[in-house]
Amino acid sequence: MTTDTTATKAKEETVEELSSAIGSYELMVIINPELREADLKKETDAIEKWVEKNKGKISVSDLWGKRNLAYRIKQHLEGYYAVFNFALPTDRAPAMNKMLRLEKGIIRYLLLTLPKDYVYVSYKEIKKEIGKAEPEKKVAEVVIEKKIKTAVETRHVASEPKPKEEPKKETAAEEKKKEEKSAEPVDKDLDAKLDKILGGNLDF
Amino acid sequence: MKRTIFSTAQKHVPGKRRCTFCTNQMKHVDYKDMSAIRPFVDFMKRIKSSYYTGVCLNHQKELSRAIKRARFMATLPYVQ
Repeated sequence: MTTDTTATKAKEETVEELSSAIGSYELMVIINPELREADLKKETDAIEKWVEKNKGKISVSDLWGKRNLAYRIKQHLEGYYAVFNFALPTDRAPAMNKMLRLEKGIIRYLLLTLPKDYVYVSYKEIKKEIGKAEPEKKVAEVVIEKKIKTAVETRHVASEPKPKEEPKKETAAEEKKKEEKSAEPVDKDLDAKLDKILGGNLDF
Repeated sequence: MKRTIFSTAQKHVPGKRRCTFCTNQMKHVDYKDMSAIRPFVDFMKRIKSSYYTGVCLNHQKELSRAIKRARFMATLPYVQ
């Protein structure tokens, strides 16, 4: 009898172990972009709480923020992206699928099992790498931009001679005025001299 | 994390073809890592064949899976 009881106990234990076999999962979620920030937090918190309720452990929760979608999903062109990595009992995964399907704020989700030697790289680091990778391309782009700029400038010079001539005319007019202004006192002096001379002549 | 360079300009020369994922010692292709996926997608966003890119069969399978996941999550379009 004792052996039987031990056997049954062992069986129960094995069943429990099987039921509590833990798998590592990754969840990517696109949340409705029209939600407010508070509601967005509610959505993400709801997911985290659900996992913790079901004897899971969250290792990563990364909010990517608002991103443009490559195509329309439920008539949305944008979406809040969020990624979670967590350990969860394997028999709870289908329930999680159902929960995510019924959640209203979630536009689309992807629940995956992770490979064993997986290291999560955060979105910020990926962005940084993209930023590092871009300048190499930009050097060539900058050169092209410079060429285009110089070309455009030369074109402007070629195509717009009129506006540059106008200020010249103005300057010419101003110079004439100045000459007139400067010439007036000279004339007065000349008049005076002439008068003197003429007067002198008349005196003769 | 080291920045990996993914080149698709592999000449189809026997003995010279090398899988970029094997040379970078990557076991898996991540669907979130767009810098890894982008070189292996056509201008029309179709998957390039391994005949031209030189990716080994195991990694080509991983790649196609990653691309399809990225498409599903709208980080990559199905067609352009």
